[in-house]
Amino acid sequence: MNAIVKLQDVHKDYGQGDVVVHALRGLSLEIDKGEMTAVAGPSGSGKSTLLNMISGLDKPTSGSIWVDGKDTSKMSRSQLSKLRLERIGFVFQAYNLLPVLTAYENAEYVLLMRGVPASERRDKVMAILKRVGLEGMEKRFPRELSGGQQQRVAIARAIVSQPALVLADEPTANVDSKTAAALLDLMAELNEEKGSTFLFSTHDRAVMKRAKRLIVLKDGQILENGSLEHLDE
Amino acid sequence: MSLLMKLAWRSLWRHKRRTIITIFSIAFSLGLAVFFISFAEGVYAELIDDAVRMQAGHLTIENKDYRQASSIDLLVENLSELRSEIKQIKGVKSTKAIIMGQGVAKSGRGAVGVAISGVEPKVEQSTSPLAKKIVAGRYLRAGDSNAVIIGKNLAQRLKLENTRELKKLHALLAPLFSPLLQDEELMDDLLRIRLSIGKKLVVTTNDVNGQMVEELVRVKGIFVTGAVQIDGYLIQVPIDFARHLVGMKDDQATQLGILLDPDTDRQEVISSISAVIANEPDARSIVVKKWEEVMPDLAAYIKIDGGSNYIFQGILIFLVMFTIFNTILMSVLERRREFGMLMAIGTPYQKIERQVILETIFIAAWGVLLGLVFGGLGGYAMQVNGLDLRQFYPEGFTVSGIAFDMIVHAKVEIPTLAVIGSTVFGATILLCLYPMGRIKRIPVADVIR
Ligand SMILES: Nc1ncnc2c1ncn2[C@@H]1O[C@H](COP(=O)(O)OP(=O)(O)OP(=O)(O)O)[C@@H](O)[C@H]1O
Ligand SMILES: [Mg+2]
Repeated sequence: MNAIVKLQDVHKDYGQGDVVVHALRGLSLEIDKGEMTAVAGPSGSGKSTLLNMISGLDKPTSGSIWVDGKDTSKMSRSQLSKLRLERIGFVFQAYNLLPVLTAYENAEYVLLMRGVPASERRDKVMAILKRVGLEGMEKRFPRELSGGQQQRVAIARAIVSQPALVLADEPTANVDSKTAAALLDLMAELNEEKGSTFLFSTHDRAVMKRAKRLIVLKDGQILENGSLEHLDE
Repeated sequence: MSLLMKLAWRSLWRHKRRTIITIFSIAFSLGLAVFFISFAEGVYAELIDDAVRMQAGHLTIENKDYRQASSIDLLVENLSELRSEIKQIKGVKSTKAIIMGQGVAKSGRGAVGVAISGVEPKVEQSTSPLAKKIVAGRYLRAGDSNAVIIGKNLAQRLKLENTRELKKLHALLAPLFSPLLQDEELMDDLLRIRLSIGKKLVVTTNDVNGQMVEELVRVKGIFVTGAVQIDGYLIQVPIDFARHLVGMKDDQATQLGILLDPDTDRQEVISSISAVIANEPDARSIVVKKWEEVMPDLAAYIKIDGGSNYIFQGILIFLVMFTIFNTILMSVLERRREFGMLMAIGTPYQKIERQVILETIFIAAWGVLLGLVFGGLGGYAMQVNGLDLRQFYPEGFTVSGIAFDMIVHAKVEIPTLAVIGSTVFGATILLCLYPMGRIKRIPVADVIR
């Protein structure tokens, strides 16, 4: 089985009684290893909800989700936490970094949590920071970095431990379009070089275009799902 | 430095001002509490010290029924032997034999009920504060026979001074003194006291057989302790004279008082003394008592006053706790996003809780340490220099017959500091459990959106 993520008829309702919001209505999809997939759709269509279901930050109302072959609906809170630490990398829209840690320390964080030995950590962090173009900025604190640079640190942290899957909820929403394009280029390159699997959500048409596959949501349902070349036609 | 330590440390210094304010408010309140507690302990210690030295010692050997019916025939026998054995016990500083009885003091112009205390002048001179409170004349001496010292108030009530003498002196001195002493009454007082010295009075009491006896004594000195119960009621005579008066033998007294060295384990001394007593011929009638049993009023005062003191300190410390609680809660709530992000990327919430505990420990440890140092040093300064309360209480202050020394000294006790410090520290750690509990409940999916 090559699927890193598999969803089967996933429903998510928020609220109770009269004010139930059906955020996801029967979503089924698979994401394979090495894919670079964008989730698009209007505001409120369920993009963030989908990503949160996959990472186990939220539980589906019904349906099943497998990540790396494991059924996450059967996992406890701490098992999910462990799964996220060991198998998933994250890039958020903002507040990605710990303000009290330097770029180096932020990138190192996940490795530390995982108990990777010091020398290995050092090599990996130095290499990844160099790769994302932050060589020489290791000692800077987040407030001393630009928005784009901060997101690069976040990307470095997300992939430094070589997770099965990198989830990014609107990673470019807080940066200008040029920076966004550069960040997407970086992700695409990493996807090529290291075979990292990326799943990100976005509003931005230019950003969507950098993905190899596009899933379009509307009202919690899949409107389109396919390779970008195919969709363009 | 471990990651958690690094996070805790840097997070605290990220809010430098808040951290410092919190640490200092802990230090300030705790320091204040420590200072006042040291003060109270100092005052109580002095009070107890004065009382036991003036009266019947830290421990008192007496007839077991003496406190119910303070009768002169309830005796301690075989005194000198008992004494020499007790002096050998470790922790015993000195012993004093006392005869305590009731009687009446009569002058030509009045009669007043008094407590007659037969004391050993030599022993008292080196231990009793009363010997240092003589304002006119002198204290009792070893060779004195029909001698007495009385308090100022008693002297006034007995009107010992010769009226004609007083008037003469008054007239003579008034023009000289009135510019200096605005208060004529004060001058009168001084003259009266002065003129009482050497006057005669008659002491009446019951002897050991219950017969009325009386004897003429001469006033050798006047004391002022500041406590009306003492100054208007107590008279001291040499113990040999007292024995002669009530018909006791040389080897008898109503009390044997025992003064202890500082920091002596009292319980240990009590058991040693009890062992000595058990071999005495009158073993069945005499017991050893603590000063709290001999002076229950004083013990009760210290208990009540100490209690109210502790309530006040408790409130102070409660405020400290509230400050810490508030700071920790605020620091957790404002980092919901940060913590949510950490949990999202797979940090177990327990790790974050540990970070918050570390932060709390750091704040509490510094606050407590500084507080103990501030309060301890402040208290120590008051221990060495003392604080003069005369300007606050010009008329003095007495507790159940014991006058406070108006220059009070604090007493800084390391065990007390340790107890207060660790209580505050422990309570702080307990208090941070609530903010910590909030971490677990952060809705991660919502805060990272
Ligand atoms: N915690 C929640 N409680 C109630 N309703 C929620 C909650 N989270 C999301 N929703 C609702 O679920 C629907 C999907 O929200 P979601 O955040 O997934 O949309 P989105 O596609 O990420 O939107 P955007 O582009 O604005 O980020 C919305 O209607 C939203 O109001
Ligand atoms: Mg969203």
